[in-house]
Amino acid sequence: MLSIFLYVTVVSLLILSITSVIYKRNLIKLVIALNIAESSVNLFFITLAYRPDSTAPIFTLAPALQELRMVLPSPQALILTNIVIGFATTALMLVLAVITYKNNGTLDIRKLKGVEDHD
Amino acid sequence: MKLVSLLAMFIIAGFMFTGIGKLHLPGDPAGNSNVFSQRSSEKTDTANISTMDDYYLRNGQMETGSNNIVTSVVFDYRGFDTLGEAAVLFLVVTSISMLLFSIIKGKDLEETVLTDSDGFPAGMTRIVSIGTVLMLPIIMAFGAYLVIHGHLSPGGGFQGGAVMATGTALLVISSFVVRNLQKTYKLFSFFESLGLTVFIVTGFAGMGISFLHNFLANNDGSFLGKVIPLGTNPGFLNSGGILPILSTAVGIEVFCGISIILVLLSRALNARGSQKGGHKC
Repeated sequence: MLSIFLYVTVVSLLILSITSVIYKRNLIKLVIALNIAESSVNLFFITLAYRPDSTAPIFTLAPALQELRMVLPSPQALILTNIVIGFATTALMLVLAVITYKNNGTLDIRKLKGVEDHD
Repeated sequence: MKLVSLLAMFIIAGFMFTGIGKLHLPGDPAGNSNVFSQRSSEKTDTANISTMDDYYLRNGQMETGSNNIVTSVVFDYRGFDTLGEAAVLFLVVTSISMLLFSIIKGKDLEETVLTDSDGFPAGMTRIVSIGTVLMLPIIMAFGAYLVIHGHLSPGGGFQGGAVMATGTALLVISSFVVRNLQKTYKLFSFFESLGLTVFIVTGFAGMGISFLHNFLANNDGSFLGKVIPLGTNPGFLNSGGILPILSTAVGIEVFCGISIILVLLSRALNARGSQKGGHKC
């Protein structure tokens, strides 16, 4: 019954990240918050895929037991996708933050309200 | 306004915490937990399975010739999904280079490298420079191992490519600046496109049956087609069909893509032409 706290951790991380997205004003902190959300989703999938007393779904030199138990493979494959896409979006968001800073000299989204007239 | 958003947060949190009760307990997924119980024949077993994951665990090794079931799911059963994933990475790298080349202009394109008398970058101590030179081949070899053994051991194209790209990150943070940015970008970009092209061409090669059909697997000892014994085995490099080819292609693509991002980002952060607030586009 204690293992239900894994799900509680997932939800707490998600709530934390949504709260940060709403209340934080620094663009870099927004990127970090979205990364936390991604990590919570990864933890959720791993939690769903867990089976007690089992090995990774790899047969190379696996223990030669009569009753071989393995964790579910397809959530791990989905997490692999999620990590790569998460990396790509993080890189894109950081580049946009860099360009925002180069153009406006600030990362505070409250100061980014208006755009000055271009020459 | 702040009160409203706080209330909305509490409502969302309430919904999420209520949803926990509807899930199965951790460590108790549906399906048959014994992978090989009542599994004798060499045919595809559909009698004793109830979930998708059981199908993968019971038949993945026989159908794809790969010991690593996760790799067989990623590159074979869900290969089309992986193609889209690689395309997303390619798209992101393309858009990042487009965005960053609007910052890196003029003098920043041809960096004048400051080196000391031994050819190492100036500004770093010798410990960092020589440590980088010593560590780089080991990192690259480990990444290549992860890519090539993707169908036998934990790893695969994406992980191995990311490990190899940490070598590029090591070069970047220890001030080994690239001399000619355009030429480096073109080289990396060529190999990135090559990786994606090899993936698609390999997919079309099995077009006689379906896109990304594993036509090389279980071909009785031919190239990458060794029929592996079911269950625990020591692992054979000459197995897996098209999985090692796709894995290598994706590994090259990920390595070159992440390298482009790292090199361009570090160059853009050090760009001299645009000071804080002084650069309007």
